[in-house]
Amino acid sequence: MKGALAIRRRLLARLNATVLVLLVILVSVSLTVGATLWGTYVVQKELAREREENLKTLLLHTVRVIEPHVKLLVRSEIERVADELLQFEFIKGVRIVWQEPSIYGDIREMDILLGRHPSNPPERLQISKGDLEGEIFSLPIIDQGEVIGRLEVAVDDRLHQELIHHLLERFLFVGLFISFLVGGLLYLYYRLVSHPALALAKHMEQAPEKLLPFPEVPGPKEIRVLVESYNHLVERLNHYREELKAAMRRWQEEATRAEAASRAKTTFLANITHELRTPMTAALGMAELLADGSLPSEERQYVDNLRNSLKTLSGLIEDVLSFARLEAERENVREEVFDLHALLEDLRKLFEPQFRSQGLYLKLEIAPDLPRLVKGDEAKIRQVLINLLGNALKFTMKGGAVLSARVVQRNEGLVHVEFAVKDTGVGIPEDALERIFIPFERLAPESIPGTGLGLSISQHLARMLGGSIEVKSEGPGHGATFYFRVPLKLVEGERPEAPKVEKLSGRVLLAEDNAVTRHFFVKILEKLGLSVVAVADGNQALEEALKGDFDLVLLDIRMPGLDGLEVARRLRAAGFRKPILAITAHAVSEVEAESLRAGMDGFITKPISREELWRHLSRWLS
Amino acid sequence: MKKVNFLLAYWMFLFYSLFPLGTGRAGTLVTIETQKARLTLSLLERFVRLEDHLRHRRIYRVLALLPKVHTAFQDQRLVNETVLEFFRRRPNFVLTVVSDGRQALRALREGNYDILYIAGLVPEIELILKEAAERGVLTVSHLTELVPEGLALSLDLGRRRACILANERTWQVLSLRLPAKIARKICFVSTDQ
Repeated sequence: MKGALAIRRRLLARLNATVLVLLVILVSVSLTVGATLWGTYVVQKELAREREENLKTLLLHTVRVIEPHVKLLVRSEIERVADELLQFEFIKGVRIVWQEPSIYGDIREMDILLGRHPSNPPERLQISKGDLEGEIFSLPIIDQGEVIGRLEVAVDDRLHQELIHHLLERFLFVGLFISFLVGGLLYLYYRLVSHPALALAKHMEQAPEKLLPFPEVPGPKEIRVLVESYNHLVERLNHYREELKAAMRRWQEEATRAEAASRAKTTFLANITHELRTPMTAALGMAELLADGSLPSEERQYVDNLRNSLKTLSGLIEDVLSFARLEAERENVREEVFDLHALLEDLRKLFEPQFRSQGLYLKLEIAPDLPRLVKGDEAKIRQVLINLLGNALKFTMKGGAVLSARVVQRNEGLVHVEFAVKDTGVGIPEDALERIFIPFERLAPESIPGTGLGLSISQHLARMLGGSIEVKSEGPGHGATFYFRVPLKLVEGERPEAPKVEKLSGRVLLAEDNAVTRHFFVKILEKLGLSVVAVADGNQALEEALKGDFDLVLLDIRMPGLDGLEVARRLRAAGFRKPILAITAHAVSEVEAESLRAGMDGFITKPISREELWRHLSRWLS
Repeated sequence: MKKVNFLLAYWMFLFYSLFPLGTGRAGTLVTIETQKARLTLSLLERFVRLEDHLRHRRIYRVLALLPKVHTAFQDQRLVNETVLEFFRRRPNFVLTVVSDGRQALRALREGNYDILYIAGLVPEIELILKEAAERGVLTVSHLTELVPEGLALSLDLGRRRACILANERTWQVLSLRLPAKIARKICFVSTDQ
């Protein structure tokens, strides 16, 4: 069965219009010849049978007619009947043979008694007419059960054969004529319809880059319409093609310009990030070092004020940079397992002192069914909630705020959590509910610091996480409630307790061109228990790394001479197998990706606290 | 002679089959009746030479009843002609012809005939046969159906083998006698009551 199908498929695949036409003609001629021969044979057989039957009936009738004449020896009548039989074209000869009637014998006996001498009686009487050759049909002449004679007829079959041959010739002629007529019509159809259609298909298949019109072909109206339609289509396609090419050129130019602008934007963002964060890191680091030292109470108060001011400035800078990154779509969602309860508790701990210092309260309400361990981007959720709590703190003069979290929907492996920050602050007019998410749109008085980017950034982040932010307010003076909904993946099991900051051991090579930052990192690393070799550029870093026995290398990405990326590439090319971490103020994902491609193992963003640095390094060092 | 083809022949055959009593058939019947008459007359010619009472005569007086029947087929006329032609060629037979029954009766009563040949039927046939027998006239006819009526001699050609028919009583009345060899061939028929 499969073999027959495969053969049929192969045959059909090889079948084309020419073969089909030839096949049809061949089959048609064969059928015609076959049908003609078969039909002639049937007609011949039927005619022969009919002729024989008719002939028998004719002879029987003739015998009945001549029987009394034979009995009475009426020669003239017998001869007349014989002559009548010869009138038929197919009868060539007639012979009637019979016994002499007995009365003649009686009369002859009387003659003998009377003394006469009659001639010898004939044994048989006979009348012959015509030519008795060929096929002979014979019938007995019977009188009351006794055969008294016989009628014999010679039949000429040539007429019959001529009739058959004539029929055969005519059948064959008509059949072949029809076959060739059908074949001719098929060929005409093939030539006028199939051939142009195939030529058109071939023309389309072999069309060069620019489609060419198909030449005019003689043929029926439908083919001419097809060719005209195709040529019209070609004309339109070529026109569209030209338009498309022009559009593509314009698009490429636009894309090139956009790419250049994007590169410039990225470069600017990286540069500004680096340029702002580097001194901020240094300033904060120095303030932290100052705070760690022993200072008189008045100076300590100055240092604390300095740290707070620097932190506020750092927050503003981070807002602007975050917004820039979001606008440039440079942010990526990262998934990590975190403790949702711990996050909320951290936030409470972070904000409660500030609320309390302003005579406000901050409550935390966690729904009993809120899962503890979830998987998601903790940093972005934290950032959104910090923005919302910061707003509540800024716009609440009396009363306080409530941070709550509950599950609004639970699917298989997924939980939709709604965080709500409800305050008793100044409230939001109804007509301003939409505007508060517009960048740089500020409803707050000038006395309250801010960029007007916090809610816009929060909304961007919520959308990135697949969630949303809504706000409800009863109007000015009635406070406001912000709802932040976000989907999180459920995680089975318990999250291990965060380890305490412990001393590390090992030798670390630090490459940082900024002297203040280098000094900050050296101090921090030494406080973590590490032995540090610090260099100021990439060449020194490469030399030291290949020369010394370091357990970890920290490379600033932007350095004079060889930058951190190139140092990493060369170290890996030279067979350096120890971990290399990037330290950079470039909080841009492209830079992080580039550092990983260069062979680095991790990425540390400045500014960074001691705990965060410890958490990063503890993965690589004991 | 014009030839006909096979199919035309077939239709001709059908034509003859559907109309078997056409003119051709009528002509054949006439010929057969004539032949019967001729054979009967041949028998008569030899019979008178062999019969004891008649064979010595030189002249035979013959009364021929030749009815004039006007029919479409003309068969009686042909039979009559055959009878006339037969006797015309034989001078020892003196022929007197009558054409109806009354003439025949009158001729029998007034004349002295040896032989009466009946060529056709007339209404007075029974009287004629009776009169002829009473007067010792040999009655002969090719119409075999007259033998039971008293006809002395006829020839039955419808039988499988032809047979001389004779009325037994008439033969006794006429005292006819033939040689034994011939007499054995005669089929005697009794007279109808």
